[in-house]
Amino acid sequence: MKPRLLFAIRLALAVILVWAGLLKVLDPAAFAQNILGFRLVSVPVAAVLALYLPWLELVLAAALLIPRWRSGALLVTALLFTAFAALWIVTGLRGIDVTCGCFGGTGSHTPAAQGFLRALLPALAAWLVLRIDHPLTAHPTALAKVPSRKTAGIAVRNTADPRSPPPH
Amino acid sequence: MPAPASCRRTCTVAFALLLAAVAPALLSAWLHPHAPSWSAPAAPAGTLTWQQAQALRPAALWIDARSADDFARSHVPGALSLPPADWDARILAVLEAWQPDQPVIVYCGGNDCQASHAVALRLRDELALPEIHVLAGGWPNPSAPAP
Repeated sequence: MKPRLLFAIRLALAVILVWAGLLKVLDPAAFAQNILGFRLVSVPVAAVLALYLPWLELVLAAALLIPRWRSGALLVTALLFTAFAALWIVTGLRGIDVTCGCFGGTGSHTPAAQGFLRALLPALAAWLVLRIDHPLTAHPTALAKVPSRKTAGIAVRNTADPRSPPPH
Repeated sequence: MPAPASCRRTCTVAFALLLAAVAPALLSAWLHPHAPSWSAPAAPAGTLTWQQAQALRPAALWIDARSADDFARSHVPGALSLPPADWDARILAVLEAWQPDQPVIVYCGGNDCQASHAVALRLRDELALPEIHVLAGGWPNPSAPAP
């Protein structure tokens, strides 16, 4: 996949996260009420989530555009949206009517299917970019086949000398 | 092409990002004018909590002040729909269902919704119903058991 397309996907994810985070960081009390509407957590837990999640979204949005941090940001973003999608599945199965508050405000009733799709698509995008852009992250067993930096560096230097034994 | 990140480095960065959001969240908890409450708020005067409303439930007439669409999706069993916009069309049905001295409980979409208060005021001022309450938290109610 072309680097520009991968960058475009990361940028789109960053825009979504900034938009969602900014709207919720302005009124965490309203967001806490939306969280309570899912009837999964207590009032103190909802307060913690309402204060923490918007800032996490803003941090992730910035990190997605910084090369040194984007792999970690992609991982957290993918896990976050996957958790949201799972939450909507549970909500739909329980038949609970909720107001998402995903993009701030009290909003209106959010159908579970709509909420699920709005979480699933960014989750899939994040997993896709993570898999393509950082293959060792997606295949941790591949690490076992990769020599350490030290031995790799020695192997590279030695191949330049025809008198040295071949690297293993 | 840059070297792919190791799994350990990715996880380390991920953990660092999770930690990075903690400080601004703590500042928000301390300084934000709209910081969330850490405990369930007491019901304002003139309102009932879900638990208090349950004590009246068998005898009370429940009024749903939300839109017809929200009412159709779900409502308190036995409630009648009376959104402010449909007052003239639906008030007769409410009056036919109401029994003398029967308590009335009005609800809408939540604590931020004002429709329930508006309907409660009209029931009191225009029809002089003697006992009218507003349900704190609206419907679906956070204190109600999940279906």
